[in-house]
Amino acid sequence: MTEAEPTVFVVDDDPSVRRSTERLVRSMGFNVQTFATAKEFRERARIESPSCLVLDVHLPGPSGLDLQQELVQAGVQIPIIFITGRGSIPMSVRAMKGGAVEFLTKPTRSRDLLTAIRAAIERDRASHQARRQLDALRERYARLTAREREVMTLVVAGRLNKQIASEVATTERTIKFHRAHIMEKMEAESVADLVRIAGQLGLAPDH
Amino acid sequence: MKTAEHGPDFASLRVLVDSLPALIHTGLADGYLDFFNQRWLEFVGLRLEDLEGWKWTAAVHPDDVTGLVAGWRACLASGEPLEFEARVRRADGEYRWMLHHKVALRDECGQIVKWYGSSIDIEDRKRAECRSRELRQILDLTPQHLEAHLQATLNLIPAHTWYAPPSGALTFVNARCADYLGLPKDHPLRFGIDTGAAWDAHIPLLHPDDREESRRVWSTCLRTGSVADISFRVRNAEGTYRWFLSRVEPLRANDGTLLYWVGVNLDNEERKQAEQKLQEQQLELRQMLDFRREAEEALRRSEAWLSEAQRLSHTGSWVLDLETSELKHWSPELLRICGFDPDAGIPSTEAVRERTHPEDRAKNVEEIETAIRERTGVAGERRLVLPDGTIRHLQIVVSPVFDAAGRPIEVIGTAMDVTERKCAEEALRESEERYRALIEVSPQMVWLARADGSNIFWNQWWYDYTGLTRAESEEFGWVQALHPEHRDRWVDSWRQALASGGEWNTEAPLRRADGQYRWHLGRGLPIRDADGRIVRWMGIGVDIHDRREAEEALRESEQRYRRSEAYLAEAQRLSHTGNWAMNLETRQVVYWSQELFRLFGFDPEEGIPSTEGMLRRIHPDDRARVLAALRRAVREKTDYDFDCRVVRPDGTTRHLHTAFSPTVNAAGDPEDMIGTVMDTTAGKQAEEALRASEQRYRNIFEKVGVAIVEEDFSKVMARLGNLKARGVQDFRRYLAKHPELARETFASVKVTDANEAAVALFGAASKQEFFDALPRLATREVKAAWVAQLIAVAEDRRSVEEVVLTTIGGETVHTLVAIVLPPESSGYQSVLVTVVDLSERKRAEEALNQAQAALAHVTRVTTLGELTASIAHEVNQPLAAIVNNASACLALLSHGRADVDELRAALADINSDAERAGAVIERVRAMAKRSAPERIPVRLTDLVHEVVALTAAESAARRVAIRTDVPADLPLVLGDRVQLQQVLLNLVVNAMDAMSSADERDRSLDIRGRVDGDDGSPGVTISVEDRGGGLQPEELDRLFEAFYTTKPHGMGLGLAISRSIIDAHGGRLWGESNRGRGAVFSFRLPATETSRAA
Repeated sequence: MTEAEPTVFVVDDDPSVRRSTERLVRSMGFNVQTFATAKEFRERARIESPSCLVLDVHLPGPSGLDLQQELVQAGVQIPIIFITGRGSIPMSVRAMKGGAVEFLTKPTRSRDLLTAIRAAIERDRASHQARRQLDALRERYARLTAREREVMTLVVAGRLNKQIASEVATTERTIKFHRAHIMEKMEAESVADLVRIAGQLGLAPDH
Repeated sequence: MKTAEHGPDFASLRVLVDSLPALIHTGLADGYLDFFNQRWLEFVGLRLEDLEGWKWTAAVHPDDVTGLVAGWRACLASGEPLEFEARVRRADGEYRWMLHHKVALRDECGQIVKWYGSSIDIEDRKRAECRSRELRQILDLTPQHLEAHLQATLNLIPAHTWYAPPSGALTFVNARCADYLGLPKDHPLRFGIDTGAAWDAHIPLLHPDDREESRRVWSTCLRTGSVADISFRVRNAEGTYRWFLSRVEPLRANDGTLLYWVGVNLDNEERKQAEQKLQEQQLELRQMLDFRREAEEALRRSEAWLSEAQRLSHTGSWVLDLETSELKHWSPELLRICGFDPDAGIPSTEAVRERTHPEDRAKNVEEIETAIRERTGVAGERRLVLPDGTIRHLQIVVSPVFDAAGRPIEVIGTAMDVTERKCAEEALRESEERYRALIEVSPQMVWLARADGSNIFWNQWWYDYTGLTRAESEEFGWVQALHPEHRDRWVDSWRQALASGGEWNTEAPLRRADGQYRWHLGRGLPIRDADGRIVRWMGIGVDIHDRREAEEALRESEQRYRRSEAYLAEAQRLSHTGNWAMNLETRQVVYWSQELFRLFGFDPEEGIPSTEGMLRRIHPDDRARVLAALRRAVREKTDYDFDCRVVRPDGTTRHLHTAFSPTVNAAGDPEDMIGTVMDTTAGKQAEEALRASEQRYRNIFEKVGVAIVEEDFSKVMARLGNLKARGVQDFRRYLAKHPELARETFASVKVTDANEAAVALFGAASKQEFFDALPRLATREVKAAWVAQLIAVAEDRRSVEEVVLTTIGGETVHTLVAIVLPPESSGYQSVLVTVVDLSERKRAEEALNQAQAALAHVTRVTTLGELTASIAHEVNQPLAAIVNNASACLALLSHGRADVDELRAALADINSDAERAGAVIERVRAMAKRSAPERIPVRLTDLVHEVVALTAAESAARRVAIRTDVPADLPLVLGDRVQLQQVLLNLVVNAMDAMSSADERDRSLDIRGRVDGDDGSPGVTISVEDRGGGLQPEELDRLFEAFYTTKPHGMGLGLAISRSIIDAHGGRLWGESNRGRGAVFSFRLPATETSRAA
């Protein structure tokens, strides 16, 4: 699929700051969408392409940190760059712990802002990719039959075919047969691969 | 009869006899009845004295007396018992038939010693007999009628009556008898029904002992047809027996045929009992006759007593035998009375006649004859002439005695010696006569009254004085001459005297013949007889009218005198004035009034002090003066007065003012010295006190720390008074029109005095220097101040003005000048003007102002400090925008994608942001600057917006929503912009702090502004309202205190400074609870007059 142009969302209640930030970011070559409040952003922002969020902490209504929280809870993984005219250490710690990419103070050096945006976009892209991959893996896993899943779990746990066969109450031969399918469906090239995939899928090994 | 004092026998006999329910008498052997028992006496209603001897005959019916006496004599002679019916006169005058029994008592020799008699009232029986006699007349009645009549009659008779047919058988008893017998109501005997009983069928009704005799008598009656009397006992219903005396008579028809036997039974029980008792007693007595000598002796003694009694009562008795014309009896006493020899025995009638006073002799015969003729007792008086010539008066009673035939046989007489009484009467009458003579002669009223107080005599004086008649005056008639109002009192005291027998005197007004009442004194004395009994009262009446009037006048004048003395003493006491008088010859004080004792400290008990004593009390220093003055007064015979001091014993000194004058006698020589002394100590003390207080006042005036100038405002007040009289009321306006008034009045004020402080204030070294400098000191300021002062004075107000005075040295002094006018009565010549040096105060005020400004600055800076973070943020925003824009421009340019419009826009933004940043900085700088407060018109609306801008970042950071509701056209206020901003900022920051812990949704802050017309003058009120925790009422008060804070890191000066800033602006800052949700802080500033402009 064609990669969309990365978008930078800017949320700041000060109009001149908002305007100037938009100008700057656009001059960096990104798409920009600006919002005055968190509420506006939630309602109107459409996150399609890799994007990041340049977020002022002090906003009317829910603050920037609140918005971060909401997005995390909503599962919206958009990288956030915090900018504030008045920052404190606890604020920055909270932001970073919440998963922010960067915490900048005003006035911001354009270089710093650009770096942060690029990093953010990159991360977004990466995470998208990762997500796509994970989705693919999931899809593959979905193709497995129940039995196959069962066997996979055991294989990933390091069981021998023989062991698996006895556990599952079937023949070794059958197990081997399953193994083959699994490998194929999961597109794993080795057991190690499979294990890695299982790990990615979050399938905890037994024991 | 006097009982003999010997032996119980006769006494007990006497008692017994008196108690017997019968009429008992006794008599002597010679027939002289010496005793009648009490019953007898009561029956006849006479005393023993009236009956004894032969006097009792008078009580006997004339028809019967002769027979009775004859019968009696016969008994006396024969000794046989007597039974005789005779009528006796009862006490009520009625004659009653009595049956008299007499039996003799004999001694052992058979001599009759005494006779005992009893009598029984048989009146009823007699009546019955009469009735039956009458009945005999009624013989043409049929037997049945007769019977009925008989029955009816018998029932009427108050005795037991009965009848029987000739056979003798009892056929009828009357109701009384039937009841007595207890016969049933239907018994045949009640109705006279012939039951065919036997002639003696009634006998069983009688006592067994009486039956035989009764039967015998009855049969005899029946046989002989004769009357019979018999006594027997009849049994009554209860079974007891009673004696009856029964008489039965035949009732015959005209031809003599016996029709009925009719009987009457009289209840004789009592008499029988008496008889029985007597008989019993007879036995006893007979036994007693063993002691014959004693009995005789007793008898003799009793006779002696009798004669003694007669002697004591001067009574004697005699009996004249009419047949022999000789005296048969002449009692011993009578012998004595008549002066006969006691042993001579009965005198002859001649002797008696001889003794009788010649004039009374005839009476002897006459009275006897009258007595005989009238057949009654006759009383009279007789005089006896004794041989020695003494005269005795006797009271005689003669009583005739008749025999059975009615012929007079004796005359019984008693004589009582009343000589003494007569003499007493005579003496009394004589003395009365004597008194009477004296009384008539006496020149005043004299009266005589009986023991009961009734008047029997008034002398002529009385009649002449009162004009009353004899009839009007005797007894108690004289009372009418007493004054009505005093009558009762007089009579009461008279009665009391009569009762007590004491000497009596009373005063009362008595009416004179002409009608006028004049006071009289009544006096009375009792006159007693030999026995001490009051027999008469004698007294006088004296006219004391004039004396009384004189006494009254004297009493009144005494009272007046005493009253005026009392007044004088009181007056002297009140005025502390005294008098003394000294006799110049003796040099002794003769009069010393009450008050003087007090003044000089002498004791009234000790009497008038001596002259030396008086002088000693005078103060030593004044003594010589006093003496000299005294001498001069005497010498020159003039009045003199002076002051001196007196030292009292208790040490106190009194000031006296003395005036004295000599009196001279007829010859012109000095006689007495009279002095009046007045205590002037109090007055002197008052003077002293006044002087002392004046001195004190003067001291205060001089020494007090406040400068006081005394000025004479009299001309000013006069001028003002004139104007007021002419109707001027608004002096302010008048002064504006007539400025010369101020000038002229100022010039008319005269400074009369200044105290030390005032002198010092003006920088003068002395009062003189001050007064000399006065014209110079009246500066322009002073004159300008005078205008306001004059208005205040005219309006009767206290004047307090701040005036800048100039000292002699040319320095200015800030002062406060106060003028308080004294009351009008003082004339306004002494008006005190106080001048207070305000320099110190002014300096202090200045220092305070400076300190406040410094403090305001500090808090301003502190507040700003609190806003630093937000201010920084404020600045950061535009800066950030500038940086962004500039970077964008650079980027665009470096990429060669420069859009000129884009660039231009960016640059324009950079400019405006830079300005924005600059403005913030400027604002902050302005707030932080310390400058002197301005007073320029400020529109609070703009102020509000600026403050909101200043706190925008902070409010955003704190997430507090600020809303404003301030009209654009708020009136202008005069003030310092920065200071007012500071106040509003302080309130806004406080409000935000208050909501720091509130829910974000509730964090809103309202700033409102409005015009209000409080207190009449327009003003602007700005309010800052929060939704915080609110305030408690206690906190509200304390919030404005310096260093009070609820913030952990606050200094607590914000509100204190804010308030002082607003106060300095002439406004008001306050806080209140916002209806439970937070607080509202407001400040109000007065609008300027030019608020309409701009």
